[in-house]
Amino acid sequence: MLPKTRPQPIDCYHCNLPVPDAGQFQLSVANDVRDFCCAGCMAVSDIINQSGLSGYYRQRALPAIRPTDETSSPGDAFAGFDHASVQAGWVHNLDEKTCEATFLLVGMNCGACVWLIETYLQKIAGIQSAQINFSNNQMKLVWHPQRVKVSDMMRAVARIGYQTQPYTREARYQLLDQQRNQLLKRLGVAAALGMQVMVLSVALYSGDWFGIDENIATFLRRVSLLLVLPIFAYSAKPLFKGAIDSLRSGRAGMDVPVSLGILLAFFASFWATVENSGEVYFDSIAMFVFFILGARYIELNTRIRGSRAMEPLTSAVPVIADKIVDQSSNNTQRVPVAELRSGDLVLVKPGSIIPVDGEIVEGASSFNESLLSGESHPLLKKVGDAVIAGSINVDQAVSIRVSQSGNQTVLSSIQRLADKAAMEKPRITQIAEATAGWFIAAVLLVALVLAVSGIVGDNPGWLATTIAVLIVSCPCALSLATPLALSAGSNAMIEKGLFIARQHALETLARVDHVVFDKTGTLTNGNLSLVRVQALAGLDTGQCTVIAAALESQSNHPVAQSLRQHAQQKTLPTASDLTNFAGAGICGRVQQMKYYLGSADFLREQNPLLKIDTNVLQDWYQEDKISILLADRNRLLAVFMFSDEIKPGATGLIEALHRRGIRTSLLSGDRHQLVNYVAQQLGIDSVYSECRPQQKAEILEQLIDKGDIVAMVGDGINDAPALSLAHLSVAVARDINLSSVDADIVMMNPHIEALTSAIDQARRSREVIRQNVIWALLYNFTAIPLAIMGLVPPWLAAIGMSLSSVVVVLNSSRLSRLKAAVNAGNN
Amino acid sequence: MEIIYLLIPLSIILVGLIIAGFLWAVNSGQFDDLEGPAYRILQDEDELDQHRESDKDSSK
Repeated sequence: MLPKTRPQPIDCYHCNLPVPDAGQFQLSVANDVRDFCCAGCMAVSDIINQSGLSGYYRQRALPAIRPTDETSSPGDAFAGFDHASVQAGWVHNLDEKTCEATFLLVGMNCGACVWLIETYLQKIAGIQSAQINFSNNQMKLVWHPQRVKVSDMMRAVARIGYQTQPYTREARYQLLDQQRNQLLKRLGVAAALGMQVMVLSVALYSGDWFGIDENIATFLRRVSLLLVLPIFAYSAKPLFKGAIDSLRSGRAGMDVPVSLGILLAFFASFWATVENSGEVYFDSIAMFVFFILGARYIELNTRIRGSRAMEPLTSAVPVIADKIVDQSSNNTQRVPVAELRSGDLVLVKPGSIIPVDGEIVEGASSFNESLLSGESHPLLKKVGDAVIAGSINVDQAVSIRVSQSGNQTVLSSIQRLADKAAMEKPRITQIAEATAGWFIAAVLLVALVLAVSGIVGDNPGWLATTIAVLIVSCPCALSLATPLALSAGSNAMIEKGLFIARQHALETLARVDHVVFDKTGTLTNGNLSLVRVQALAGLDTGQCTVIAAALESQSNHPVAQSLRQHAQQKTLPTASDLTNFAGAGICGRVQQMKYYLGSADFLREQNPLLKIDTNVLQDWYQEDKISILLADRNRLLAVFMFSDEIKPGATGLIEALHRRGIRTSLLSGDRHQLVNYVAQQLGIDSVYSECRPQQKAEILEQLIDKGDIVAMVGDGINDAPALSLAHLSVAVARDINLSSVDADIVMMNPHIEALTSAIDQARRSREVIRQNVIWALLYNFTAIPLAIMGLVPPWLAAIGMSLSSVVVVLNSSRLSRLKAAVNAGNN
Repeated sequence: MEIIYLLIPLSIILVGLIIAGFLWAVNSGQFDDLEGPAYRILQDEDELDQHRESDKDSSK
């Protein structure tokens, strides 16, 4: 008998998920007995401790991601990577004895992971070095092929709970990295030379006040010119290019006045240096270019991070396939997917991922396309049907004729769309840039009027005034305001285990006033466990379980998983003529007999002749349990009762949301009593139960029509239509496979209470953005009139511009400090 | 003040060297990962060393 109540829920020592059965998986770690949630976590933890790396548990900032079954027992999956054909183009020979290759790592979530993997690998004989790049999940290994095999190394990584696969450099990431490095170089040059120019200009300015030898002044100016030349020609190049691009497309972009100011200042100073008369503005140019490039660099980094959050999607498609070389004997050979051509035949074993788009030529099986459609019910496909790369073959081995592979597959086109979304500028930035466009046009006009009237009126100060206006009006602070705050905000979210997949997520999250939960796996642990089987007629409980498990043998629903687990020891009879009614039940034949499995309503609907004694059922109903009925053509056979526990943090989360004035709803496909029970326990405002996916979408539409800003939190599997409707979708990832990539925010760990701090963080970010923008506008609107009146010399304009940017930077950095304070408060 | 005619060119050479060093660092990938090493330096390797020492002890 299972224990009914537990005083304190225990969290797994390795992955911090709740332990379903205390005492089932225990291990003595450093003289303490620790509990684990599953055999996988225990095995991984055992290896970590035995290798003397238990320091990992003290150093890590986030709990480990629960290893999947494949990771903890890798079997022979890696043997294929030892083939020369697979290694071609990926493994490079450094010299006769050493090889080098880059791997993609999945499952790292904090710096301690880096340390763990590196030190663990370096202890293996034959591995010369292991270097991990935490920001792009790449690992570079150098090893001696005579002493260690590629498969051994990959297996070793799997043993400590991470997944690896060959990383073939993808052009898009390389391009982004190049772009970033290019910008960094320009920024560095501007910084180093700019500092020199500043030093010299201090001498020149003090010379203006206290007098300076004319020869020395000339010398200093010429040196300044020399130093500014690379800044002008090299560092500022992207600004000029941006200005030309925006002029071509007929818009006044921020780059236009910036470029004009720089050009005007540079050539005026150049002329003054050559002619040895008039003012030089080299210091202003240097400072100006440095600050603008700095803002661009921060913004680019934020966008790169957003795009990287999509990378797990790429890793969904395998790199190795079993190519059928001899069709009569079905002899296969492991080849890299990249080498497959249209028309080749590929064997796909049950449980593995389809590597290519193609058509079934032999066999029939069901396929899970949840990665693409979000629909988790496997679809049955037979000879002639098309299958899509990235879907999972659920039960039978099939042969597939390749139609598209690699970049041509449906999955990669979806992924390109996702990439594009990630690289989009956030809406708030777009608005800021559009307003800045008008502002800039006005500034240009003012500068032109000043210059013309100065020349016509023969006013010698016109040049200084015009340059001052152009520099002082630089919307640098305005352009820094949003990217800085957004970057600080999303960094803080990642530390809490929340991945921002879409740029708009942070700003939408701040506005959310209604959170809709999908019950299964979101507010509850999602692992249904069969707590009781009651036989009602004829057959005993064992027989009933076997029949039910056979009916559910092709389903991935938690009910099916739990049933299969219970019937595990016995071999299941095959079920035929299976018809699955999403969210209601299933019927089919087992050993020539027709059976129905599902809710009472489903049974009545399917078989009106069936007599169901409601009194009997009433006895078995318990508020907090899900009961599923099994029946044959004429009688009820058994009641299965499943329980699903509410997550420990769920109550706190709902309370915290209400405190923040956010309404809550529970939207579930389960029956009324159970959903009401959960909602009552948690104090949720409104409840919708027994909803099918279509109804969920309709309810969501109604809420949106009412004007609510709706965030939907689900496990991302059964709720694809509803998730895509909501203003903001949050998916709770349940294990290492991010099947739920189609959400705006992905929660990497099941501790949903992180949602509250995420909302707080988002609101704080929005507040900081508001302050930044107000400050930037205030600065511009006071400084520009002063500059027009000729009260601001160019050097003061440059300092004012820089100071206003510094204020914005400091204000945004408050976000990370606030975060630390909140963490301290939580502990 | 004639000394500045020597010192300033010297400082320019120095800046040139600094920039060359910086460009080399960017090109050789020193700036590729700005997050990982920050964590790595905080990692306490004492335990690992102890373990290694105990390995050595047992092999003696």
